[in-house]
Amino acid sequence: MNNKKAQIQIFETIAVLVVFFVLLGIGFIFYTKVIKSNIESDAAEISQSKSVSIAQRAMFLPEIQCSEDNVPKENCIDTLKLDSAISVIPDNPLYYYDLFEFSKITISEIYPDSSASAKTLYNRAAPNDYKRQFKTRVPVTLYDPLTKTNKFGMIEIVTYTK
Amino acid sequence: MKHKKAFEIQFNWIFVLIAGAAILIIFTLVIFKQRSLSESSTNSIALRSMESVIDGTSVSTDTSSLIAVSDLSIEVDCGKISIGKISKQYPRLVLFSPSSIKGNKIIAQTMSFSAPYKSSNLLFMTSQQIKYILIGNSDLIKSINKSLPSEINKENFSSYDPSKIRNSNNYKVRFVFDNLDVSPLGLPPSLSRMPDGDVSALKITGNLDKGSVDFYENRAGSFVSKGTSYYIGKAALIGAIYADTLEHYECNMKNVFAKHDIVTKVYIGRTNGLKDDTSLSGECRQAYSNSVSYISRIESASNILSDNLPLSESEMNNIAGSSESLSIQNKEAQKFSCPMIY
Repeated sequence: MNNKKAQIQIFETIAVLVVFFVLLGIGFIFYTKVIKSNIESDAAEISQSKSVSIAQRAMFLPEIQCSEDNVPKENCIDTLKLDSAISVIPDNPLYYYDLFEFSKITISEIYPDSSASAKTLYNRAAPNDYKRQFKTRVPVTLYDPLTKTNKFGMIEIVTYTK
Repeated sequence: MKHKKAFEIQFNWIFVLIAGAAILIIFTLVIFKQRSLSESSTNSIALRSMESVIDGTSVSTDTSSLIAVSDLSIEVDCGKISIGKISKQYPRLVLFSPSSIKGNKIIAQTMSFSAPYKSSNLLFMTSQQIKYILIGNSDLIKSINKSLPSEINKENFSSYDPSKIRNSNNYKVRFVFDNLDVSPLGLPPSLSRMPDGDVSALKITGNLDKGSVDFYENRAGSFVSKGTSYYIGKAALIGAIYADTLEHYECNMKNVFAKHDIVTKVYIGRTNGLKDDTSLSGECRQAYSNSVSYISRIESASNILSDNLPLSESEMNNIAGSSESLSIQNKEAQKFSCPMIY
């Protein structure tokens, strides 16, 4: 009789422990899911801020920025510098990868000749696991030092992140 | 029967003990794991905010700002920033700073590097807990004093009088001397108990355009020379003040010249484009033709400086000399209403 009572007590304790661990497990699964969703939203935020940084770097690149007597002009691209930079940048892939990572930077004319073909300053295709894509378009002035004329243009920066 | 009951009670206690210990171990492990995760998360957030600070400040020229950060120790090495166990490599980073930045307020400053055209923004960072002592009353020291942001913990003395220098519990102290031989000078008595390497000195020989910088560190109560390097332009000189070691200064300058080399190649293409344009006047094309050779010299010197350490004095002088000649050609282009070279 006593033996049976002891057995029941042991089973009771084991059952309590099993229920405790099941509840602990459910809590842990819930906690990891919350953490995972937080990490995903953090990753999206990081990707977005990274793309803003890349766009910022592209906008202030001394390689293409207009300058008069060494005074840089904001939101202005020197077309002669741009043509020269287009041939120099591919020769320094590592340097520009550190700056722009996986992205594509194109500059196009909007006015007066909107049909003029866009010029690609930098293009590094993203691997397959880079699923996010952010596009930043900034209006700029395209300055031609030979004719001393300004045109309206657009710089488009597409960044790819995981 | 009595024996069996005693065994039953004992078994119960052993069972409770094992289960309790298992639960305690699980929770202890979770707590430790969570603690280390939270530490790494804080450090990585701080590193990310450092990255944003670097990105934000490095696009704006001639600015200074006081940035509030978590009270952490940031270690800055050649192309690497570490906070706690978290570190990140930045192969082309140009950040002149002491090797460790402590405290909850960082001073960030930017200046453009031009030789003679702008090629990059130099970023300087330091802590408010580091003291900068400028010795001398020359125009150079006055200009340096004016260029350093007001938020920096700095003092200016007209001459080196060790008895006047007080210890205000700074973890690092940096002296800046204008053409004064540092080696025979003893450390101020108030700073003699600071650990080796925490008091450093920089001796400047030259002017704002170019010159040499000698790095010193405290060893057993006196200044010991750690080597000589060179600078061109005010921005590089200010960089030598912020960087507390010769290695850190030269590593940053190497990256500056790597960028200068690329930008110079762009200017070669642009100037050739201007030179070959037949619609421009003869005077203009002559100025561009003269300029191409100077720009090419700057390019070749920058290329050598970006590949080799220690920095070569002759190549630095090459850049300084060609920059001067190029600026004359730029003025010439302006005089004849030609498109400017830079």
